[in-house]
Formats: sequence, C-alpha cells, structure tokens
Amino acid sequence: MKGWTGKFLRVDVSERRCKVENYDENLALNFIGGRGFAVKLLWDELPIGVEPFSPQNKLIFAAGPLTGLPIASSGKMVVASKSPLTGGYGDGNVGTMASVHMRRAGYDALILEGVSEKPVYIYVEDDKVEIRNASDLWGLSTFEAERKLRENVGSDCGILVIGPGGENLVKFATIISQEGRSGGRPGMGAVMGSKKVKAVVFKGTGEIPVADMDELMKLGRMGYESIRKASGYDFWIRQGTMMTVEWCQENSTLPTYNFREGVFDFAENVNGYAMEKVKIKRRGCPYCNMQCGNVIEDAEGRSSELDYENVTMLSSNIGVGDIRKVGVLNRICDEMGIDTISSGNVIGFIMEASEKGLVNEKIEWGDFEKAKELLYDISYRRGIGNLLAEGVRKISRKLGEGSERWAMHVKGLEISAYDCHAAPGMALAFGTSPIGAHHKDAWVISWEISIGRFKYDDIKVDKVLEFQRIRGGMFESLVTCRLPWIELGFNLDWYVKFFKAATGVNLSLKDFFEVGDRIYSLIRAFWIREYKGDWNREMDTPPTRWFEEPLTKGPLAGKKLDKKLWNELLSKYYERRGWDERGVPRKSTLKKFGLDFTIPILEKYVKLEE
Amino acid sequence: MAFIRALGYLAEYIGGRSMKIRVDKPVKIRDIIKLPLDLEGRIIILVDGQPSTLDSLIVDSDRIVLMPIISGG
Ligand code: SF4
Repeated sequence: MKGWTGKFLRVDVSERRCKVENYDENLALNFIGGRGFAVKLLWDELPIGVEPFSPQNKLIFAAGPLTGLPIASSGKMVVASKSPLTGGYGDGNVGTMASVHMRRAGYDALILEGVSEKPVYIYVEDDKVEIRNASDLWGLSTFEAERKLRENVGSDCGILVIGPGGENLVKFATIISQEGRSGGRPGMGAVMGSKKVKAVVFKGTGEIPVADMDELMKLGRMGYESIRKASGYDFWIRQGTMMTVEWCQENSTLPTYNFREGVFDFAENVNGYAMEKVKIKRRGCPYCNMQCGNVIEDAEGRSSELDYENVTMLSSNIGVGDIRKVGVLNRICDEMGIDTISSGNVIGFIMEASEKGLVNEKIEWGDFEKAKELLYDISYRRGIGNLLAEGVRKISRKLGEGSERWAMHVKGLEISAYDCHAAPGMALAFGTSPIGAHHKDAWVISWEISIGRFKYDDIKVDKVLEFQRIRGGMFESLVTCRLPWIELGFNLDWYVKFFKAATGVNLSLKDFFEVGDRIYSLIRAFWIREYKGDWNREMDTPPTRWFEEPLTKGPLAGKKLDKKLWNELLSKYYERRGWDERGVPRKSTLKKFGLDFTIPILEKYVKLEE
Repeated sequence: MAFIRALGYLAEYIGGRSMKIRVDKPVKIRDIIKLPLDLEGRIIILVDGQPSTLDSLIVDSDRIVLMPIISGG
C-alpha cells in the first residue's frame, strides 16, 4: 500500500502492552481513514453498551492517506471514541504536528485501550513505544503540561494533551495541542483522562509512503499557489473564521442568550474587526497556508487563540460583549482542556435557568467574572460546576420544569454557534450530524440563504446530504481541512488528484461520496446498537425552542421553524439515506454498503425494515 | 439612495463595509460593483432580503447585501 502506512499502533495501558498491527487493504479502500477507520474499529472492538469510562472503551487517534503530506491543510487528525457525553459515536478533528509525526513514525492510527493505575503519557518515537510516568504532569493545565513535556522530549515532535477537564472527567473535555488547537468535543479528553493518560507524544523520523512523490509535490505546490491567489485570501489571513460573526449578525443566525435570538446588541465589539484591533499573531495547523488561528492579547494580558465558534459561544450566547474578555474565557477553556462550544452552551443555559429561578445561584447574563469562575468550577467539578460538567442534556433532565425545551443540544451534544430559528436546512444538518449537533459535517446556512431561507424544499435535503458526503465523509476520512474548499474556492477535484498521487488508487468524487454514505450508515448503526434500540426520530430533532419560541429581535423577529414541514424534511432525508421513518438503516442499505455484519447485531435490538 | 452592505472580504471591493449610491434608473448590480471573476460563484446577494444575482436590477431605496459564501468555523 502507498499513501497509507498500513499499520496501527495499539497501546494497552492496563497491561502496559504495545503492539504494531498490519491492517487489511480492504479497510483502507472501504473506509479511507480518519473517521472511517475510527468507526469501523469501534464497531468491531467495543463490547456492546460499553461504559465510556471503562477500560474496554477505546480512544482512537486516526489519520488518513493525505495526512501529513505536503499538500493543502493536511496536518489534521481525528480523535474518536464512544462518547461519555452522548453515549453514542463521538469524534473531533484537531490540527496538530502529532498527526504529521504519527504518520512519519509509521502509523495511520493509534488505538488506546485499558486504564492505567497511575498517570502516564505515551511516548512514540518511530518503532520505540514507551508508557512513561506522568505523575509530575497530572493536574497541570494543557499549556503547562505541553511545555514541561517539551523540556523532556524536545521540540521536534507532536504532542496531544489533556487538562484538568479531562482528568476530572468533564463530559465535554477535549484533547489539546499546541496551546489552543482543540478537538474531540463529545468528551474525547475525558475518555483519555479516564485511562489516566495525560499526553501522547509522537516523534516520527521516517517518510510517509507515497505512490508518486514527484506528482504529489507538483500538485502540492500548485494547490498552495491556487489558494494563495484566490480572491479573499488576504482578508482570510486577517480575520479567518472570525468574519463569520459579522455574517451571522447580518443574517440573524448569531446564537444569542442561549439561542433565544439571532442578533446581539454588542456584536460589533466581538466581530472580526474588533478582533483585528487586539490581534498579535496568527497560527494554525501544519501544512496550511491559510492559517486561521487568530491570537489576541486577552483582558489579562495573555495570548488567546480565537475562532468564530469559541468567540460566539462565549460572547453573544452568554451576553459578554468584549473581545478581550471573551479571549480570557476561551483561553481558560483551552488551558483546562474543555470544549468552548459546550462551555458557552451550558453557561448560557444556566444563566437562563437562573433568570427563570430554576437554580438558587444568581448567574446573570453577561457576568464575565461569574463565567470565568464557572469554567474553573466545571473543570474541577466544584459546586454547581459539577452538574454543568455533565452537559446540557443531563442538566436539563435534572432541573426539569420544562427546561428540556430550551436545552440546546441534539443527541446530547451541545449545539454549536448557529441559531436556526430561520434556517430549516441548517436545523436538519444539526439534527442529522453523526456526532450530535455540530456544524462540521454540513454547514449549509450560507447556501440556504442564497436560495431562500424560509423554504422547506427537497433541495435542502439534497444539500445537507451533499455536504455530509463531502465534509463528513471525504474530508473526515482523507483527514484534511474542510475550509479551503468553500472559503477560498479550492475545487474538490484537487483532492481526487492528491489522493491518486498519494495512493496510486483512482477514486472519483462519487466513490468518495459512497464511502461517506457507508461511514454514515455505520455510525448510525453504532448509535442504535449502543442505545440498545431505544431509538426514534426525536433523536434527530433539534430543541423545541426553535419550533415554539420565535425570535423577538432583529429583522427576522417573529420567525421560528415549522415543526410539520421540518419533519417532512427529516423524512425525506431518511428516505434518501435508505433509512426508515425512525432513522434506522434499512437492511438493503446496510447490504448495499457492505455493512452486512451489522445486521445480526442490530436485529437483537430493533426490527430492521427490508 | 440604495444602500449597499458588504460583508467580509467583499468590503474591499466597495471600498468599505457599506455605502450609499444614487440610482436614477434601474441598474444591474454588476454594473455598479466590479468583482473578480473567481468570486462570482462564491457570493450571496440579497436585495431587500430576497436572493438575487449580479444581474438583478436595483432601484433607489433598495438595501443590497453582498456576502461571501462561507462554510462556518
Ligand atoms: S484553515 Fe485553519 S483549521 Fe484549516 S488547516 Fe488551516 S489553520 Fe487549520
């Protein structure tokens, strides 16, 4: 095999055993890599219904055949596991030198299993693999731990690390790299913490096998050039994803006060232009020439790396209208290793709960000091933070009194930063995202607005599917960044050519989309299996708030989603996916994608339609 | 006066984040705003909230919003 290294590294921290395994070429061809590898490994290897924090749960760090090659935005890695937050499939994508070094060390994935008695870190240097003592790192913030590790292992390596959030099993703890690159929203950091693994260090000195290196280098150069020359490049370099704040404010999709509104009175103080005034540098993922991490000096004089999602969830969604203060909140999340999106979501929720008198604590909208305190309380599970650390689905079940209606999640994952009162297509994308409500697979709002945002047409279903195939299927399995494509018009054909040069295998876009569909149906089967068949379309339905409580501010005041029409969109989505009215894949669909092996297991829990 | 608002990098093509322009008779958007060719498939245009194109005609009093198609954070 070329492009793929053909090897997985398995580390069992209970038994302190490491093993290198060759995997089958068919796995590569049918699942490509990244998310595809992750879900197949989890399906095959996890005991059904495994407790996410048990030794039997596994944490997968997976690259794809393009990861770490000198082509556009390829320094990415998927981290995946059974999620402690949602109870289903969870993954995240992190840009890190660890992805490049893992591949150079000769592995396409690391499978981490077991639970260590004492804190450890995994050190991988090519074929030398060690499980090392991390007692002196345990308890440190992600920034401190990474710096301290670098004193030991040097700078020419990639490090993934968890913070107190992961150690204390915060259900939305993430895995962090390079002081601000974060991935694994559905609690991948907590799974790592449950295994008592503080960090993973990769140092690879080998070469990634490539079918046609000359061609790849040539394409790589041309690709970078095409990105650099695209109109809008200079502005992207200035603001990156932060331009989305202005965009969402204009379009009434800026999540505001726990997704009650789509516009924020202080948006001008937290948008890309406000950020530019305090920006000190830019950084980003390896092999990227459009790096989008905007580093600002925060209100405490420290560096904080901002992008749209974290800024919005920690500003408009909780009422903080000062970019430098938002920088502080963002930096605390990164240091503690907790997800910024879920943090902003649960804090917004508890502010609303306080306003409505559902909790005794006084936690007011826009209270920056209180928000800061809550982030630490969540990370250390102190006081009310212990409840917030469970995520918004569980908090609302505990508080009751109808709060489930405005607990902003789908499948237990907190909704990311787009209000959908007036965006039925995006609400469908959130509903059907394979990890719970997240925008990474199908961010269709832009396109939706361009064709008529209030329509409930079939083409919206088709667009969600198309985006899921491209972003959730192709990019997440090749493991390259999804941003060059739309932001700078980097044509998808580039990836077909990159793939051919890297692997020698000819796949068309249609083939990649089929792989995407296979991955989607397998992820869905995994959820149904782990929920023991307790599954219905409500699992794919966004919160009641968007259907029942109209916007009250801005040009779209009065707008809300129509439940009946939205449900018709969902039914059409199921039909096109080959899933039944409950959202369960049909037997014929599973067979079509070569997922026959799921049928006997699923049939233990649900009746499958033909 | 027609009001034009440009988001993100499109601001650079109208010389600011917004502008007002006098429109004496109906005119195509492309005749008043010059954009590079590679942007044509990458932008959204709303005229008074309605999806429009560079060939849509605008009149005085219209509110035009030009925005890039983006893909989220
Ligand atoms: S565009 Fe941003 S997220 Fe994508 S690879 Fe570059 S730095 Fe990373």
